Amino acid sequence: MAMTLISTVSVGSGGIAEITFSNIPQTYTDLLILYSARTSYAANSAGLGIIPNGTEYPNLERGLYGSGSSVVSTTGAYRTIGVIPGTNYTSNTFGNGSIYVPNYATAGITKIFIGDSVAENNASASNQAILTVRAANTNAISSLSIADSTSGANLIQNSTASLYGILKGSGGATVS
Amino acid sequence: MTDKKYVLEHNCETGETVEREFTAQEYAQAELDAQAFAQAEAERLAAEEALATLKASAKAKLIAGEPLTAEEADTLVI
Amino acid sequence: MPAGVSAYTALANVTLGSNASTVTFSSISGSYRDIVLIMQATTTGTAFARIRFNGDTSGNYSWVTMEGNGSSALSSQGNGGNNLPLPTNSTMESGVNWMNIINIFDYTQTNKGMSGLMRSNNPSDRAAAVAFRWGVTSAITQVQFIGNNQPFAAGSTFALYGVSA
Repeated sequence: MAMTLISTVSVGSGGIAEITFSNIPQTYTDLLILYSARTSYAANSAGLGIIPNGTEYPNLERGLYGSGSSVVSTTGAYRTIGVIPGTNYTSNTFGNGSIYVPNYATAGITKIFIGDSVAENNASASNQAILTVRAANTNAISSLSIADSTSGANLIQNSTASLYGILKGSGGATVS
Repeated sequence: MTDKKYVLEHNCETGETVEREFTAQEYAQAELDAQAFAQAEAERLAAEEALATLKASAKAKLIAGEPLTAEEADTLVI
Repeated sequence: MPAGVSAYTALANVTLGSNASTVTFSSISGSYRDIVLIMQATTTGTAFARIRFNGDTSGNYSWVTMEGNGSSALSSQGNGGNNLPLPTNSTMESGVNWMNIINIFDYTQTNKGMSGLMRSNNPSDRAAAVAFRWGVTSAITQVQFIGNNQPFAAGSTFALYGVSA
């Protein structure tokens, strides 16, 4: 099976500052996280940060944001890989996003994360982003954490994240 | 820091999920993140405000038949 | 497809053992609804790169791109191209990893041109999203990645997956 659900986490009452998938099997080729999340931060939206291996905070982010009325591109030593709605946005409305990292288990290869997300608002304005983040080193990834990287506020109850492993096929390409 | 922060950690090998407090390093990073975002937000909002000001000025000058600066002209979308 | 059966099938992959100018997936099975290509590549120098379907170079490619390079938000389009360009900066540094996810929908249909979505990313350069169309009513049986002026470096990886309906 090329795509396998490894695990799903759902946040309980009281919320949580960070969701971590640890001891990730090293038997796949790529990883995919799909999430539905909202932060308790008192703002329209917040960044969702990614951290590999517990403490290996990424050091380069580049992205494009649209709000419905403006567009901006950012870069910096950030780990933001998505946007999620805060308490100013329509209640009971969660943002959605995906995070993909290829070759996560191969040491020596730069780990690049791709994030596509929307801080859904069910209104005329919301925030959407396409982002890419580079890990700080080329270590194999054995854990991944996501959290509100803007304010450190909690991901609220009913936020969920699912981790999938993607396994490549064998052969079948011509190189010249 | 008065508010404690917790991690919901799922062990993919054992299938267990535990809730643990942030480490000191995680607390420190969360603080750095908040500062960095606050600065980036301030810059973004300043840029948005500057653009809105330019657009308003460009519109007023168009109506009045006055020449626009190059910066004001750049805000026009044709 | 019956419930409970995996919809995502790994079809092929390659990790370059040495520099290569072209990577080709050919004789692609027509058994799926969509195909997905994952590319993580390093080039040996400043680079443009292209994708080509079924070896076609007859002006059938069109695209719209939106991208952020960290200081500007940009959008561009192309029509009648002989290839589909992968968003890159002509001054992209050598040795920098670059990652693309390419989704091609209904790739076996012969009653419409092919369309797809691509995300192209290099944290040192840009994050980009591309919507593209290949205006030929033929099933896609071959996809080529072409390092236009610089080869893909050893260690670059290319993978192909089929998605079932």
